Amino acid sequence: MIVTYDSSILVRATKRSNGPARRLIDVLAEHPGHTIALSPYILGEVGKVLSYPRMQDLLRLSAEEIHAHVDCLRSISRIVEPQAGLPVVLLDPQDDAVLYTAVAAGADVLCVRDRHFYDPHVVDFCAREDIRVTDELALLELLA
Amino acid sequence: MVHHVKDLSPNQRITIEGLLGRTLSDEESLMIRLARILKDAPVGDERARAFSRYHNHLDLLDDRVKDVPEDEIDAAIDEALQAVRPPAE
Repeated sequence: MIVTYDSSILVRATKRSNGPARRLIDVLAEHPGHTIALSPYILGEVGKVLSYPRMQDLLRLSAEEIHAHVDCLRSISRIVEPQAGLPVVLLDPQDDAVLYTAVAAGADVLCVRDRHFYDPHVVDFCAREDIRVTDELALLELLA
Repeated sequence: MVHHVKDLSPNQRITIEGLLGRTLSDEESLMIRLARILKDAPVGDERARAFSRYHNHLDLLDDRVKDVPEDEIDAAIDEALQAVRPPAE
């Protein structure tokens, strides 16, 4: 299974070793048949979120550590450069960069929390591309 | 880029049917989308090493917030995500 994660899921994997986002990473790590597919856009967002002042207050990450974290993510993943298509997530066009990452990667699953991805129009588009839209809890159940 | 199957040459049609693993009908259309894989996911030992390194890094971060209440971390993450990808007006 090829899974594209939104940055909102990837960042949550940093907070608790028993949290759902982290458990998802663990499950994917244990099964060589599973692939994480990301893009420079998503990796960049993860770096920006970790650099955000309030996150820095909690994590106290140096620039080198943020770079290392993003590099770790890059090293475990397939990285694609999606070609922009017609707008799909009309309620928030910036989300299209994530959606088209999944399309370009040939993903089976787009794992996201943002409610805009659950708009029926977006879910239908993804279904036509054979991509299931799900959150981390539902994906954990699917992989169980 | 949309192509109607009925407009394809016989050779194009045979090639695409071979790629799809099924026959096409004249009423169908094809949408071709190009994508670039910049780096494929690692396999075998390289994959195991990469995940191990990532896990170690996550453990390091986990350790730094172990005394911080869950809702405080969630609030910080939500605020950061909103700042990085502001919702459309």
